[in-house]
Amino acid sequence: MLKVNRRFAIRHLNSFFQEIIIVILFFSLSCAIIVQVFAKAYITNLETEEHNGAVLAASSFCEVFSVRGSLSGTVELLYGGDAVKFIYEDSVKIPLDENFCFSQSGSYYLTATTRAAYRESGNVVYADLVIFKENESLFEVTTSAYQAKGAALE
Amino acid sequence: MGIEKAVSKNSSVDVLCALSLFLVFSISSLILITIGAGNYKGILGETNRSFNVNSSLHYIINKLHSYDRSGLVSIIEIDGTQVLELSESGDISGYHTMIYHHDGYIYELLTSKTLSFKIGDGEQILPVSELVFDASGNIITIEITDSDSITKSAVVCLKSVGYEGGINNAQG
Amino acid sequence: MTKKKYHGVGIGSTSIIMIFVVLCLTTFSLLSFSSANSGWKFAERSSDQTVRYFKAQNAANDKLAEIDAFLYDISANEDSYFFNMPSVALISGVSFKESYEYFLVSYSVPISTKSVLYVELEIPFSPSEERFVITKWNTKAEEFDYNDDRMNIWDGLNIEE
Repeated sequence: MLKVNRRFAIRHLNSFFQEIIIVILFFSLSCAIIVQVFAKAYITNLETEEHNGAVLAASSFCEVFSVRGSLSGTVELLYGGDAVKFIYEDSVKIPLDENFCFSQSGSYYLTATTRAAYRESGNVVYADLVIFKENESLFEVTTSAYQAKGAALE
Repeated sequence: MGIEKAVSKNSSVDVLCALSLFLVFSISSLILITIGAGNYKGILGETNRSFNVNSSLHYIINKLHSYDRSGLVSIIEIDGTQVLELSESGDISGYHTMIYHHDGYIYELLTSKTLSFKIGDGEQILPVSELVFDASGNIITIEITDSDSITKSAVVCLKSVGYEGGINNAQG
Repeated sequence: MTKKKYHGVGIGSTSIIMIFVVLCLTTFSLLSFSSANSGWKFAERSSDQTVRYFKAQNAANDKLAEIDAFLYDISANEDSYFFNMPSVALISGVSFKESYEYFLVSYSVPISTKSVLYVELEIPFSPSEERFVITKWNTKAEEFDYNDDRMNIWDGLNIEE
């Protein structure tokens, strides 16, 4: 009788252990997928934050440029006199930190290249703006400013 | 009798092992659910904070773009609170929209200029910790701080005439 | 003789716990992803709107350059300046109006199907150093033509008996 009871208990325990092994196996497989979804959600959040920051930084630059009409005027107003040294001829490449504020060692870059359409009455100056990180473009936009010249000579 | 006791003891140990394994499994599952819930809460909180700040900035930017007409934009101070006043027209009896920060929210109120206005009037738009306007000539800088003390800013330039002497000195 | 009962963990309880945990984690992960995805979609929409606005601004500046070129040309002759001014309306999309103190020239540039960038310029009656002044540069909703909301009921023809 004792042998029967013991055999019964052992069989039951064996089933339990077999079940828990299968459960853990299935659990690990499903966790592999669940963790990937969580990671994707987190990465999407980070990318969204980056994108939003880039859009705001570019929008501010474009707004100021549309009124000032020059790279030096725009850069000085937005990022201070220290950033003006990053202007070279008709383009600028400003390093920005993760909050898209000017930082000498930033990992993001704002590049703007100007071109103009000339007329006797005035010029339309365009600025092609790109914000990128490690050669990957985050946001691109083009802005312009109209600079009227003086009165016509009689 | 002794054999019975020994066999019974062995059986109890087996059951105890199985039970402890089950207990460890249950506690681990509970911890895992707690971690998952914490992760979800964190991601949701981050998304909401980002949405509040960026929506607020874009909302104010779009409002300024739609009121970029001579002399209709001004930044005034009422009871120590900065208020962005957007007038519908230059009339003293017309309507104006007041946008300001109060009690953790951005408020908006469209009202007649003839009616009195006090801080707290209007509709709550979005929850933010702080909203600061800084005007220099025709350039307005908007700074918004969220509940995590992270500040984001945007710049809007008014192109219509009358703001060269400053937003509050605008001539319509 | 009494049969000894097995006092231990029942078969299936582990599976039930596992199913519950997997369901919870799946729900949390999908909700997190959905929330992050909606945040991303919003970011894309606002960046599209920003690009559209500045595109419209560029088009508005181009039109402004065109109008200013016209003003520059007619400013050369002060005598015919006033009479030539209405010809500014010949520029595509430009409206012209005369008020008591100045000429009003306006135009709209579409931003999207629902909104436009509206520009209004004040131009003095005689040529001056400042050929124009921007009085409006604002976005507004696209105006719909509600006048053509007619239903044809009867064309008015007599019916011969």
